[in-house]
Amino acid sequence: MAKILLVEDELIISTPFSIVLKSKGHQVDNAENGNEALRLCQKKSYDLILLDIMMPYCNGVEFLKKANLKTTAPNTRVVVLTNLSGGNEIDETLMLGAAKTVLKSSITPALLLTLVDEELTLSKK
Amino acid sequence: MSNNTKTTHTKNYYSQENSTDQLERYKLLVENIEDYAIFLLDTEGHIVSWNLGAEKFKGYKPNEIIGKHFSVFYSEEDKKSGKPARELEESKANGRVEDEGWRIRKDGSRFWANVIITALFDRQGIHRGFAKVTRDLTERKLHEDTLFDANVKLEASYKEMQRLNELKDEFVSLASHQLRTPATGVKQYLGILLEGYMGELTEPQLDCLQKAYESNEREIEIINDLLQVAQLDAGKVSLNKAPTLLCDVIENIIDEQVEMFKVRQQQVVLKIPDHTLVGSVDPIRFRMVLENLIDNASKYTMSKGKIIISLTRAGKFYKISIQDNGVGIKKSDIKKLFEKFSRLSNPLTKNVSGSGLGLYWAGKIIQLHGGHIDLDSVPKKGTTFSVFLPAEKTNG
Repeated sequence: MAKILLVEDELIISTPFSIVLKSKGHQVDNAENGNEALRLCQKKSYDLILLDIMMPYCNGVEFLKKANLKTTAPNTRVVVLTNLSGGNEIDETLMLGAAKTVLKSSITPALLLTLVDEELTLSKK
Repeated sequence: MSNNTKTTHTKNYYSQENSTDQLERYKLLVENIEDYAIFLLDTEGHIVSWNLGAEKFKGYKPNEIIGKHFSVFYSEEDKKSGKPARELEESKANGRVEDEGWRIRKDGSRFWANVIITALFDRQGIHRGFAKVTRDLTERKLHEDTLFDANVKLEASYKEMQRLNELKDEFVSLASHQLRTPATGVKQYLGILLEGYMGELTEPQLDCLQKAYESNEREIEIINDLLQVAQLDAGKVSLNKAPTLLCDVIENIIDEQVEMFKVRQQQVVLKIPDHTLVGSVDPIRFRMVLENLIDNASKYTMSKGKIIISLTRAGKFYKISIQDNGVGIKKSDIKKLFEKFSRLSNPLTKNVSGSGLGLYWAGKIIQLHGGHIDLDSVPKKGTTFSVFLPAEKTNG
């Protein structure tokens, strides 16, 4: 089972995501913005970060810039879950090391688990 | 050659009259011209002759104006700036001067004049005065001014329209993103219920949730369509073209939609004689266009119907046809089909979800590829959509 950090400001989305992930035994921490995520990353290491982009105080792009995961946590994979379709922010997250971006409104519980499984398999390689 | 002939002829003509008659004729000619004001000035600029045209344009009788200085026709501003004297000097120095501007009539009203002042010198080169020819171009000037004003207004309206259009695009883009969040929340909660995370549900409960889920999916689909069209209209879509095997795209879509055809009991026939055709397309968007057309063909075809998809080369284009034997489209509706929010009335429309934006978007995307979509349809017989894509140049 994996350690997952879910960075999402909307409870209506983070709550069901957490329910689904925890049901498979994953350990899930929640952060409501990039600043909270940074604090958690300093204390713990994660196998996977599921990251929203549009968040108050510190958005997903700013978090990736500040966290510098390539150096501080090279084994942590980042998947961006956003409802933005296209735009500079999405490209920036990919340049800052995110493995992929997924449109949040296309995700179902089953798809979320498949996505997480795929990423965890890749992170072990 | 022709000039010589003309000169000889003219000489002969004038030689038939004595010089007093000639002068008299010239005088009469000039005096009676109504369309031009033609008059003479002395070396200082005082008026020494007057014709009918001058009287008509400027309103003075000969006895009222002869002897007066020609600056009387200029505005106070022009007089103060020394324009009349300047024009005489320039004419004297260069032989002539031409000017267009407002001049003043006897009654004080303005008219737009084209003025030519020619300096007159005798055979000894002594300056004898000026000939002044004036045309009244007020009507043309007013037309030009009206046109200019209309153009300025048109440009302002166009800029305003562009600004409003940009605001609209921004609004749609932002609103669509904001609308996705609650719809995503609904989707997740319905998802965990439907997928059993909250325990077993009865069939009627599952049925209700499934309907809610489908309705929410439709909302997400409309939001997605709105966002895509807003991006397209805002010119924010740039194609990422890559050489793509066209048959692969078609076969992949059919493989993915095979369940849909099974449920609707529809037969799909692929006619691809050449599996090597490579198009320069944006693979993601091109695939979405074909998905859209194939999905439409299926939606508007009855159960047990047939859909034929073919890929051929047609001159400078690759032609991908999606032919169904469904409900068809009335001739009067065909034009509306590629417009925004076009949803036509036919026996299947009420069972089919859609935003009315899909074909508008598809048409525009194919246009961005340098191609077009054609449509052939007969009500109750079926419809064929044909996508034409510029073909790669082949050797020979």
